[in-house]
Amino acid sequence: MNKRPVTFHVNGDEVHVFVEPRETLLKVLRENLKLTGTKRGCDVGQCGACTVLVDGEPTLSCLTLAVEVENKHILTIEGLSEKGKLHPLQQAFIDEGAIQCGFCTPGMIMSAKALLNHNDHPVEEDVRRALAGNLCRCTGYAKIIKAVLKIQR
Amino acid sequence: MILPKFDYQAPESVSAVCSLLAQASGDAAIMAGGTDLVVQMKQKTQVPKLVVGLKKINKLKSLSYSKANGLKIGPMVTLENLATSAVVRDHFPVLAEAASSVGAVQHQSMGTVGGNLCLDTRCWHYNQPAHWRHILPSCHKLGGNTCHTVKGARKCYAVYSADVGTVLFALDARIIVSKSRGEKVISLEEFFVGDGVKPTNLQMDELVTAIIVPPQNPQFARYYKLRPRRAIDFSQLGIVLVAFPEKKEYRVVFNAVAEKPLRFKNLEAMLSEGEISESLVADFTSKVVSRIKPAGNVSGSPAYRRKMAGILLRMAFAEMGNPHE
Repeated sequence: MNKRPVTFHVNGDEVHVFVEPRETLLKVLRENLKLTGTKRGCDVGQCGACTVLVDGEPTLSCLTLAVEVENKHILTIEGLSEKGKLHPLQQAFIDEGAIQCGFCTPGMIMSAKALLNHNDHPVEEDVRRALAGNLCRCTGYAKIIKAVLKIQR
Repeated sequence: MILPKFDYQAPESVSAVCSLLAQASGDAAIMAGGTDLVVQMKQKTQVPKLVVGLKKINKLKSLSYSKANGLKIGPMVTLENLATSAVVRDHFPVLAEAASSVGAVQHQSMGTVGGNLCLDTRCWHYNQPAHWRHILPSCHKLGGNTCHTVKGARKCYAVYSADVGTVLFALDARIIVSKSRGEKVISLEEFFVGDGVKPTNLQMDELVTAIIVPPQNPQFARYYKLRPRRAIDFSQLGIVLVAFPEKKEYRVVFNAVAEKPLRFKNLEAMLSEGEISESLVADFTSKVVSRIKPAGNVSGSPAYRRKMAGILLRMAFAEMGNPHE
């Protein structure tokens, strides 16, 4: 009922979906486009696991209606690696042991990517602030912050 | 959580928004950033038949400043834009401070000034998933006639906790409200009616189309926010102090202790009478704190929040005394 066409870009590709207004960007990414890297955590905007970049800005996809991203550019965790080579942030998370259960990792990396888009040389306080909206229930924060700080060195 | 069904429209003009709202006769919701509305819709505290998106109206995203008229903020300016705008940081740093205290960076890049100003009041018993709420009879805010926070209360005690909204109130901001026919300018004192069920007097076909902060040059203006964690959480308590010592004018506004931002002008008058001293501040603080009566409907007990109100207020005046420290 009430479905409508919506066009936007995901990881550089133009996508056309047919969605109801009540469908969130998170649902469309995971279920229509099968991009399951973006995680559904709390589903009410508190945990940051669903963070993606919309036109470069960190955005909670669980609170974003798919109809509201018409013509926008979405970047998800799947769009970071190039030609099979991991993005430096992804590699840093592996190298620093910043992944435990891995559920918060895509959201953490996307929030870190948003920070690095605006700030080439963040200090620890900047990283803490940028990741404050991403919860890690394994509590591996120290290594996550270390991994992000490693990128700029 | 699956959202209830609704229709969605995103007009390109304010008049089209207002006529859609008028046609919907109260069954519509305005979507700014969505960080509060979508949660409320998921929890089914709001079940509009129509959601009207404002993203296509570019003029609602403008931010301008002039010496004569002050700051004019479009309601769709994001909190991040407000917090990082050079003109805001230069002339109204307290607004930037409040914007950057809201939630986490994700909420700030999605959330808007208009959305924050018009933030619905909150209560532990109201902001819950539908299956949780249904255990108890409907409260005032849900259309029932009981209150689970204050037993026997005949009114709703849901708390207004918007940080930017409270700072705008302290800066004597005015808003332009558009409706199907024409527009009006009102002060935030008129805008906030102090009703927990519906905190503002915005009518069902009205839209806030600009926020005007008059030019002013306080010597000291800060926002102090108490919350369990520095990200995500709503305020447990907020205090704005805007001071003009040369005019002997001091404005103190409390956030998250009542159904609207609270200011006690009659008590502020005692600060104008003499030099600001430790004993005057202590006297003022104890009088003001005895007047605020937070209800137990957000995290932190009322007693703790009142005690912290006194501590933060004394801290604010101490910092004002030595603004360069």
